[in-house]
Amino acid sequence: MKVDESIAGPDDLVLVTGSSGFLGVKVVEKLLQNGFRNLRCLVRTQTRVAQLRGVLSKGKGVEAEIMKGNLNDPEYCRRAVKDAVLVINCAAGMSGGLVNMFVDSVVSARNLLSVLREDDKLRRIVHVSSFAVYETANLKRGALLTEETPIESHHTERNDAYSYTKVKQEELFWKFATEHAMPLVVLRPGVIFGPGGVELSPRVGFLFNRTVFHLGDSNLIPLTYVDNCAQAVLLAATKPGIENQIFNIVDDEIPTSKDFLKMYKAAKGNLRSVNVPYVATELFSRILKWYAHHSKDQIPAFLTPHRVASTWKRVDFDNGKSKRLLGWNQAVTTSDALNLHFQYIRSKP
Amino acid sequence: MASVVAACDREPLLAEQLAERYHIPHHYSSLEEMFRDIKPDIVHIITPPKTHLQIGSYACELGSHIYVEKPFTVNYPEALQLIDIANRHNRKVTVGHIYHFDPAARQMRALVSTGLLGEPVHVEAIMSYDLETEFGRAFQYDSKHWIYDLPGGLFQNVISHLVEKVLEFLPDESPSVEVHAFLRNPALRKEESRILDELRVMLAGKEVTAQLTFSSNFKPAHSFLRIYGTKNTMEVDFNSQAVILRKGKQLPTGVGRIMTSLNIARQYQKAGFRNINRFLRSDFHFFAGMNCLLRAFYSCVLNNTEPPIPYDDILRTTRIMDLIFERLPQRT
Repeated sequence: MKVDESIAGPDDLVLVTGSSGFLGVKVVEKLLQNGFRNLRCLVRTQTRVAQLRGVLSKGKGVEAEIMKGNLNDPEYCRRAVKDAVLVINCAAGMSGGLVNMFVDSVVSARNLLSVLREDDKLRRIVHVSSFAVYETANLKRGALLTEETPIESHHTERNDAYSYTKVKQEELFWKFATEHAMPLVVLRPGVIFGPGGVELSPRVGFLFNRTVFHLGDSNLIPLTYVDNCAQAVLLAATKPGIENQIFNIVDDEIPTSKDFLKMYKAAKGNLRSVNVPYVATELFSRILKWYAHHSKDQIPAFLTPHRVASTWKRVDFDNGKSKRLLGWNQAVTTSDALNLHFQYIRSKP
Repeated sequence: MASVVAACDREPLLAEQLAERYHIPHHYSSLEEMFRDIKPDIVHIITPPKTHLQIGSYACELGSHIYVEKPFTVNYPEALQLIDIANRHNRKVTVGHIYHFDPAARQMRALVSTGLLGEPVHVEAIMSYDLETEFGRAFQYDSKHWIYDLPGGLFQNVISHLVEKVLEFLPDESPSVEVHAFLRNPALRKEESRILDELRVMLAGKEVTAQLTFSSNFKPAHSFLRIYGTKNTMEVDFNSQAVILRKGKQLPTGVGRIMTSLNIARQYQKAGFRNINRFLRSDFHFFAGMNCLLRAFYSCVLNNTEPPIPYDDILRTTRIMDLIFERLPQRT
């Protein structure tokens, strides 16, 4: 969406949180490519800041500010949102245990939204959520996951810190949007991948000691290439008339886990793999759950039947709404995206 | 049978998520509100150390016994004050010195009580701490983290475990204290992370000396106690839950030296099998020491007996920590 078709002008201030993250850097790049010249990029650590600076330096006539700080600091939040017209929230806690992730995702979102609700210049907030918010465990095998699929509510059973924090984060965005009439659009991407991102999604399996324990079987992996996802974010931030909508972002012609693993092994070289049937994973999780209860968590139930079903039960993914209402189409084909992803992996020492 | 009745955190979202995840019936973001609604018998204080005195006092005044996470307080005067308030209100107090109650520590204590070591001459306590943990990352990227307000910085959050281990064998009220501390990890030389990460302390009493080593850099992670006695030496490996007795060479010449290492290998093997046995009985929990301390504290509250950690021990630990932190180099 070019700036002249959007709800914001080229000199309107666009705030991007998590701007040095894997997706955040690409979002900034898309904004610049589409004519936005006034950016405020929030970063918390030095990771990838050099990459962000590199992207910003390519923008001509661009006023860009990199603001380093922590969204858990209310004063920083106030300074960050000042005069923002578009706000794109890519910030989330991705690691460090549940409490740290909760603070970085949910508490920081609350702080941001609390000051944003007083911003009378605000025209749109985009929140980047995740497929992790969906309750897929109770879907039938092969069911279609759409924006109407229920949100996860069995957090104890699922025991998944990332899912829990993303659900709570998104709930907060909707709460503020509803109570304060804030113009919100939510994106729920699948697995965002690409050069520099996570090489192997847990939906495929786990790498341990040069062996991949393949759990994904012939499931489809809901991939979205980072550039394609960033394009969806740009549209979500700028397209008129889509307030209060939710969009699943997943590319077309996504590979099965088996196919992805084949490509991954070819790229890495010298890897073994062990297929672990779904039934075996499910049985293991039941035994683990029983044992954790019986032994009073001598070994905690790090894998539960609900989590197994949420992650590795076969479902299909729908991206029709994002095409129809958001006008999104992936610019990079899945085939090209996978080539780029694995080329990068091959090039690593 | 005790039950958790409420979670309280100044950040309401954190209190709420804790209550939701652990099915705790009530959650609050205000102590006053919590005490208006419910009267807990025991309050577990897991807040930053500079709030321990205030919250602990408040809880005792309103009728609760208190379990205070380490470090007990920010300094010795606060520790004295808190214990005094608890005593005046006839409330019991303990502190989270969980390694004192670890199975390996209890085994060591039982052996020491038989006179196996003789008199202690020197004690070494070593602890390493991985800064790539949840807590380590939390303060590394937050220049306003409460740890920077502590006189002892990172050390203050951790070394009470070391100090209380050695004070068990060091009876002197005022040992001399020498401190060497520095920052070793270049990745921590950044504006938002104003910490020192290596600490060496020498405590010297009239007849017993003690050395404390805290490190964020050496691997693997260590938690180790060595007690040198006039008869024998004992090692307590908290990670592998092994207690090893080093006796003097009992056979002459090289045979004696060969037998020494075989003897130690046999003891580690025996400890390994003991641990397997405990694991099979579901009695090998990572926080076994905490379980034991909690049971002991709750029992002392129920039965009105002496608290599991004598108040004098809590005060001595805090006082020695004060002496250590007074001698730290200035952080820049």
